[in-house]
Formats: sequence, C-alpha cells, structure tokens
Amino acid sequence: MTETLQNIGQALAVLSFVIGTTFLALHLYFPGVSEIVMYAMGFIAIIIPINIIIFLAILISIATKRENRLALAKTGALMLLNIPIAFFYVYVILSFMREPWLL
Amino acid sequence: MEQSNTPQPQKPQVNKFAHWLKTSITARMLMVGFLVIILLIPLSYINVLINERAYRQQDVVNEINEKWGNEVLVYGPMIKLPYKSYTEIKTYDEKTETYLKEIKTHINHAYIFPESLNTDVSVDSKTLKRGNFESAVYTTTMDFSGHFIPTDLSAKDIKTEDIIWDKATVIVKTSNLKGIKSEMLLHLADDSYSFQTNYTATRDANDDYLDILESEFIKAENIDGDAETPFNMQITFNGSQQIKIIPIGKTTTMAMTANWPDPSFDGNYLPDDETKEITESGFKANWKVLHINRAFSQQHLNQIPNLRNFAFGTKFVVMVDEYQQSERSAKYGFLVIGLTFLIFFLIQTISKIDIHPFQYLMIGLALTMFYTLLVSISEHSNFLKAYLIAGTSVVLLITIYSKSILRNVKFPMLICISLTALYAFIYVIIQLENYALLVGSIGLFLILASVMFVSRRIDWSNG
Repeated sequence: MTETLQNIGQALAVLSFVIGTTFLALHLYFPGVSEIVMYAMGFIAIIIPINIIIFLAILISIATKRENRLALAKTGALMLLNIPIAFFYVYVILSFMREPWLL
Repeated sequence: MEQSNTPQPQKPQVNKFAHWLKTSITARMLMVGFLVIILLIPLSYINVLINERAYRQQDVVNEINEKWGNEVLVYGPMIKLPYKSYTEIKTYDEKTETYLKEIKTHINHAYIFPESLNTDVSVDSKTLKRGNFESAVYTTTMDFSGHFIPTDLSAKDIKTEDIIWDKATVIVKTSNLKGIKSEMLLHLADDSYSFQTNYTATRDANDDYLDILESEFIKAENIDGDAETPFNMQITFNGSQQIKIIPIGKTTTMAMTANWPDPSFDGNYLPDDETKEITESGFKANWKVLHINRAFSQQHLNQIPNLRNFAFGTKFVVMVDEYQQSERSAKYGFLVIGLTFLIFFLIQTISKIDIHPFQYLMIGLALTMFYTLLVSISEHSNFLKAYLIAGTSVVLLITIYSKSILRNVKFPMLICISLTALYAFIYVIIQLENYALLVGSIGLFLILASVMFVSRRIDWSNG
C-alpha cells in the first residue's frame, strides 16, 4: 500500500514538473498563442488538488504506518519541490511580460 | 529433479517507475523529447535578444535621423488667396415688428495649386555611424519651378471683386523645417519673396502634420492678370530616410539624381521605367504625374487638404536584415535541436552506448549558443561570415564533445557531417524566399527517409 502511494507520489511529482515545464516552454516560445495559457490554467486547476490529496495521503500514511516512512517522506519532499519551481516559473513569465518588444 | 528447500534471498524492492525510466526506450525517447521542450526556454530568450537588438538599432537610427534631419516631404507651393463671403442674418425687432436684415462679411481662403510643377532633386547621401549601427542621411537641393494660371474662382461661386488680391501669400508645407539649410526665396514673375514659419497649434483628425512656411504678401499684379505666372524656388535640406513630394501641379514632374546605389522607390507613383538608371555609383529617376492620375482638384476652399497619401519619392535606407535573418534562423532552432537529439538517440539505441541526460542538455545548450554567436558576430560582419563562424564553432564543439561521449571516431564524424548538412540546409532555407517551402519540404522528406532507414532494425519492443 505505502509502495503504491510512493509510486503514485513520485510519478505525480515528475508528471507535474514535466507538464508544467512543457507549458512554460511552449508559452515562452509561442507568446502569441493564448490557447497555451488556457490549457496551462486548466492543468493547474486540476493538478493542484490532486497533488494536495496525494500529499495528504502520504502525510497520513507516515503518521499512521510504520513501514516505508523514510521513502514516503522523500516522496513528499519531491512533491514539495514543485512549489519553488512554480514560483520561479511565474517570475520568468512576469519578466518576459515586461519586455516591450514582445507581443 | 533436485529441489532446494533453502529460502530464496528476498529481492530488493525495486521502484517500478524509476526502473522504467532507466531502462525503457520509450522513457528515453520521452526524456529526450522533454529536453527538446526545455531547450525552447533558452531559444525564447534568444528570440528576445534578437528583438531587443533590432529595437535598439532602430532607436539609434531614429536618434541619428532626429539630429541630422528627418524625412523630407514637400507639399507646395500653392497660393493662399483670401476672399470675402457673405451671410444674411434676419433678426425680428419687436418694437417695430419688422425683420432686420444684416449682412455679415467673412474672410475665407482659397488655396490654388500650380498648373505645372517641375522638381529637380539632387541628393548627396552618406551613412552616419554610431556604435555598431548606421543610418543613411543626405543633403538634397530641390529646385521647384512651374507656373500658375490666371486665377478664376467662378467655378466655386466666388466673384472676382470679392477676392482680396493684395493679401495673397504663397504657402509651402514640409515635414522637415529643422533640416532646411538655406534661406528660401520664391521668385514669382519678376519679384522675390521670403518665407516665415506659420505655427498652427490646432491639430485635427484631418491634419497632415506638416509645418507651414508662408511668404510675405505677394504683389497683386503678379496674380490678378490674364497671363501665366511663372515661379521658381530652391530649398536645401539635411534629411534622412526618404524624399517625397505631393503632385499638386496639374502636371507634376520630378527628376531625382543621387549617389545612393540602393534606392527604394516608394509612394503612390513609381518612376518612369525607361529612363530609370540604377548603378553602383547612384541612380537617376524621373516621375510624371498628370491631374487625371490623382483624385483632387486644383482649387480648395477654407483648408489645405491632407494629401499625404498621394506623395511619391524615394527611400534612402541602409538595408540591414541581419536581425531579420537571425530571427528566421532562430525559428528553426526547434528543428535543429530536435534533429540533433534524434541523431544522438538513434546512435544511443543502435550502439547501446549510454548518453546521460546531462550530456544531451550540454549538446542542446551548445546548439542554442549558435544563435547568440550568430547575432553578436553579424553585428560586426556580414551575415554569411557570421553564420559560417558560428556554425563551424558549434559543429566542432559538438563533434569533439561527442567523441568523448561515444568513444569512437565513426559516430562523431557522422554527427559532424549531419550537423554541417543541417546548418547548410537551414541557411539555404532562410536565403530563399519563393522556394523556401519547396526546399524545406524536400529536405524534411529526405531527413525522414534517412531516419526511417537508420531506425529500421531497432527493436522497439523493449519499451
């Protein structure tokens, strides 16, 4: 059970990072395509609640079960790593928006 | 058959996801694809850099032009003729119970264009440099000559006795007051008149944003007779970008001679093809515009019409398309990175040599460096040289790096040849205009065929 949770958590963290980064790269490379922003917003709206649910499940699992605690904690930390990355991406987008020669 | 009862050692717990990432071809392919997408971020920054440099260049050119003198557009000369018009006002007087008629006199102006306008323009051009950027500027002497026919405003329902002949002036409008380098004198019949600027603070939607030069009052006998009134005047301008006139003569001609080898004829009318001469030392061009070629009349009441759309002339612009070409080549950055990674991926899959994502990333960054090298070198050299230097540097760097990764000579040589061919292909595409799509399509077809041929023996089931 904890192993499954760990796998899901890791896959979710990697997937969130990969898809989020893909949206960022596409938005920067094609600044005029508003659909990218629209899909990215949809993705954020879906992925944040899922991440929260899995992260809470991992926390509960760490608190209630003895086995595999360290591995679960590492998975939780991996998921949390996406938060500063997201802030950095917002900073990159805002700094791009300030460029007067962009669209 | 011997059976052992000894317990088997328990297999260490293997994380399925991590294992899949490490061993599967599909996962490796996805990882390479993701790296290509990641490298779009530096490519975006390179696009911003190119746009910023182009923007700065335009800024510097504008600054040079602002100081030397802007574009020259001349609209004139035309006669400004005041005339009286009358309005009748009826007011009811309650005491006498009668209507009182009052006639008010207004002063309006008619603007009369010449019957013929011949302009002889000689241009001495040069380039001014500031830092890496340059702008074309010139000093031009424009000789205007022609004649006005006797004024008859009866078609506009204005009687001759209502015209105030002794308050008439001549107007010339121009976009470049600041660049006028000599005193302007109008020779009208046998008399000479100087000009004053006539500042108008009010601007409306119909305004052509040209400054007005107005002569002193011209002698009535110069315009109220039955004879044609010849005129001529000379203006010397310091200017930049372009020289244009508005064809207000019933017949307008312009002859332009310049030492600028790369003119761009611009505006509503093109020069005569048979007499046009463009050589390495300059050009000569002649225009002729008849009144039936444009949709405005020779007389206008109350305000000078905005005829900017009818202007014609020549542009004097340094053709700098380095940034445009760099931008176009950067647009193919996605293709270059994708195809290079594909070559490495195929080599990795066929030869079973492990290439770490970090090494892919380094190769990708080297490919993006090509564009910064290209932009920076092209500012000091021509585009072809810059492309050759940047391309050679990047191909050599990747070839040497791949030799250390792949540990043989065969594959790095293949990479060297493929990258050289790819950069040559992109160069050809950005140079071609009409055939870009055709050459691009054929090139991509050949690349796809090569990939299909090379990958035909790969066992994709391991994934």
